[in-house]
Amino acid sequence: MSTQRRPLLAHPDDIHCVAFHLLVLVSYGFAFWLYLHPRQAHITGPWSLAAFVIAAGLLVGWISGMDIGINFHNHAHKPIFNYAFLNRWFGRIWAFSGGWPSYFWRHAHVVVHHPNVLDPEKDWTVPLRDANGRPESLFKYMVVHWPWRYYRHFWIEFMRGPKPRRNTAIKEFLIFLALWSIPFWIDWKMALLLWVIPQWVGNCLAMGGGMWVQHEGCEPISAANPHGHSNDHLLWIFTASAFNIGYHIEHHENPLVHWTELPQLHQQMREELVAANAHLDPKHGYAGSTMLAVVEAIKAPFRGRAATNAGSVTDP
Amino acid sequence: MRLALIPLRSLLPCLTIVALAAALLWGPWVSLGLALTVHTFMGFRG
Repeated sequence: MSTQRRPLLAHPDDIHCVAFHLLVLVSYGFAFWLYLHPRQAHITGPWSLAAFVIAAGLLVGWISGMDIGINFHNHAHKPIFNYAFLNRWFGRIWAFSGGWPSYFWRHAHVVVHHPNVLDPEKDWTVPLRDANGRPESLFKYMVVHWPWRYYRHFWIEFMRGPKPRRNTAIKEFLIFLALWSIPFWIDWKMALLLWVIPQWVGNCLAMGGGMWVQHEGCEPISAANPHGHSNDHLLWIFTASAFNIGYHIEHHENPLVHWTELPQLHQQMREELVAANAHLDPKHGYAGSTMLAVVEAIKAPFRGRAATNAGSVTDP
Repeated sequence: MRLALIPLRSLLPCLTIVALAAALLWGPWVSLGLALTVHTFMGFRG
């Protein structure tokens, strides 16, 4: 009989997932410490405090969005530990710093988004589309989707769903609240400025932008267009520093493939993807594509007005 | 090799900690400048 214990991590490269999340927690803790020691941080009044809060909001917020939307995402698909207890509890202390109960994130992504990607009736995680297939405004999606729209759907699906699912959701939400409230017990103003604001940046701007560009201009899977459901973002610095999330077509079609194996999968699929005119962008990551989408969203109303004006001139 | 790659995989968290630490040496305006620089770089190139 073998007494050899299984390794802690399901895949040795998942050490990177652990390191990323721990660094995010350290970043939050460091920001809190600086706030609580304003003299050491040279915070001398409201203006320097505002500069610090904006800096922390942008920096910690962005990595918080990546930590939940990319890094925890890996764990949601393929748990990183070989032990269920560790997966459950590390997941809880992972998602809470992104402003999420881990069970809720997994439900939205694995149960709702993946099996129903871009289905107008079922996939409520992506931007809404009108009857002509046009998506809602990027800005509206960013502001509305988290937490408001998502929690409306959670309420419907958990409260009206099967009893075991409802009970699990309530238990996980209470565990989340207990963990999430810790910064408020230390200093409620600090929590609002350096916990809630970064989580808003992470969810609405970083993750909202990411969700937008992953499926912008795409359509539900069909036999005629089997790879048109997602966009690949293949800029090397992005794929290297974002857990290969840019291989999104490959990921959606093979969600159980480990994140380290996506580049090889891409090489295997590349010929087929190119032949099918799949959306492969070698020049941008999500931040760059989000910037382009923001510029397009700013221009959109003016373009609409110009088209209307042109129509009024040419119409009899 | 795996551990050596951690700063690359965790590029943004590492930059975040460095930018926050800048407040200790030079104050929060420098942190803000670094935050905007990182985001401008990531926005236009990443």
